[in-house]
Amino acid sequence: MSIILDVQNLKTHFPIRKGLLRKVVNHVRAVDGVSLQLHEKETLGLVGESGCGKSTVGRSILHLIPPTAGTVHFENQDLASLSASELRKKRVHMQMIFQNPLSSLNPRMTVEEIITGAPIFHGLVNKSDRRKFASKLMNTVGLNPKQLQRFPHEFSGGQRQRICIARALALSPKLLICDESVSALDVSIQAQILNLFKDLQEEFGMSYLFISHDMAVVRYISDRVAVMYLGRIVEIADKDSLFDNPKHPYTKALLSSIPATHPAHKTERRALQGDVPSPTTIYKGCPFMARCPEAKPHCGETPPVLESVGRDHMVSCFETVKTEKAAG
Amino acid sequence: MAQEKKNNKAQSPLLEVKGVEVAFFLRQGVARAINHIDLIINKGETLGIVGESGCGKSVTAAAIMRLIEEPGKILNGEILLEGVDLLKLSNREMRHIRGNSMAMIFQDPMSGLNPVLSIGKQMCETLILHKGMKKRQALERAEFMLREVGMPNPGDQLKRFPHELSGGMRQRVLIAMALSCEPKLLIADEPTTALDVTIQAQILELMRELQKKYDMAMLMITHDLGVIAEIADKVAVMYAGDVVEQTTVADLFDNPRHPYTKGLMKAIPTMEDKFSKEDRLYNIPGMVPTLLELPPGCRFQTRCPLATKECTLKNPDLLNHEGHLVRCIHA
Repeated sequence: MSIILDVQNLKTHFPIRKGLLRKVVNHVRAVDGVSLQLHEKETLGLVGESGCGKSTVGRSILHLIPPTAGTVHFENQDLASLSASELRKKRVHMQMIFQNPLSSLNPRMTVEEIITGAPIFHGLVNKSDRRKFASKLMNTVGLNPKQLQRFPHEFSGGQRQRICIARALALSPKLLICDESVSALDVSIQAQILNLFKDLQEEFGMSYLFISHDMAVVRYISDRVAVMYLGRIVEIADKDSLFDNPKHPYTKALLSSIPATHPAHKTERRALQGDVPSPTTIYKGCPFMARCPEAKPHCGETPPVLESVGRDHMVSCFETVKTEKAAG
Repeated sequence: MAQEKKNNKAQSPLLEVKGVEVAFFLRQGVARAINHIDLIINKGETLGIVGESGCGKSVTAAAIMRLIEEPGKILNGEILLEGVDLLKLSNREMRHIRGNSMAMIFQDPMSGLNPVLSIGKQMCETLILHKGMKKRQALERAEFMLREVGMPNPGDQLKRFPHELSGGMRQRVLIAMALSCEPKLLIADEPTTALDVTIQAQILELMRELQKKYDMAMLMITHDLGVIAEIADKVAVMYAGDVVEQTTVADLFDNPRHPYTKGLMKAIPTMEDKFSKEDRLYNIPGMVPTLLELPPGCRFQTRCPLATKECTLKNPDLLNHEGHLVRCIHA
């Protein structure tokens, strides 16, 4: 399978300005050196706690937030090299679906206008065909085409998310970035939307970057999973390998924090102490060191890098790599 | 009767909710948010209420605290806290109970804290009001409580303001505040929903610990069956204003009987499942009916795989199968 998206050493820093002259005093290092590849028809899950930079990764890939450093290649083309109008055309193939469907839908447009706006703008659909085009998409996402003239507020949360999905599909994208797309939905509706995502991928062969804080949802939908902490990927692997055999101390702690699925399975916690530290700090060594139960003094000397510790399994931790290598 | 009461005193319930109905009188009609609910919480025990948005779980909590506001109204029933009917108390008497015998914590810790008052000031307020403490005494108690909930440097924290704390720390402050008067019942409405999993694990652990230490009963309201599995002893599942199933936690997870509970459990992906690309989650078709347009008969019948004609005739009663209560004629 060919690589559709190639992100190399992506960094997105936000300046913190202070004082009368708005001088830059520091940076929030929201994304600090993320590299990942996404293959055709593949789903890569991106998990982490709030503030780890997972949403910023999604937005920086689309250049909705211009990255500070690093490259994003989509279909072998460097997005930074494109002009604004070329980028707009390229984005037809890269669409995003957000967490809150109501805030991402224009309340004064009918569903038909919402769905057909972009394809008409890009000349993919004739104005005269818009009704037929929109009806077909409504059927695809499981909505009644008779409701095309309604406004977003007349729909439930799950239906609104279906409208967002229809709008994204209208441009036949090759890459769909889903940013917490099912997090605001009730469980019974969440299952419906997750199934829809899988069905659509099967039908249209899109690739997904699925950003979520919910590990079980990511396990359900993904092929591979990347775990982020403080703007960096600390572990990336095939999903079964990652969830059944986590290697990074942070991943282990994260997974052991998930509530039990049965009262009899309440397990011994590797509860992490403290909160996620501020992303404004520059770390000489491993950024997880302060909370890591396995930290050694040398972890603070140089930053760890992602190293392979098995088939399709990479981890960024000195101690883990050392023990894995010793075990052969 | 009197004799019987005496004998049962050792295990008499702390809180008893009997036949409570709550409705909201809206312009569009009457929304029956709670349709006749019965609950019992014993001393030191945790009852979980689980359900999706709009099922009435938060309204139940608000009714117990008597915090239902216009256009809502508690129509019927009794809410007995140690035998005293809260619905018959004056507002003044009720104020004495709130924050003292019963305390509540909410989903969003920021909205439970006053942004312009220091943590210390807010914590002392409750203690001075309910316990008649002097300021210095209250500050000492507040510092002690912050240490109890695992805040580092509790003395310094008293001078800080809510915006200076992280979400997990704010929730700890609220728990400290709620427990400072040693309530007999703590009502927690989605206390960990806004928190990250690692912080959620810390807070649940803390609540379990403090519950044991203070011998306090808890009512835990959540949409997350995982949180229920972690913390509850008994559980009630709610759907569209009805309790549809009620039993012990172990029994609910081993042997769910109501088709809604069964569907819910199948619809949630879990970490134990290995999913292939072709696998699909079970999904409950349709969506929760609005309270203004409830279907006739059983409220779940439009989405239920077992529904028959009989289900459309009458909303079934909560049937008792050896202590396992189920509102379904087919279960």
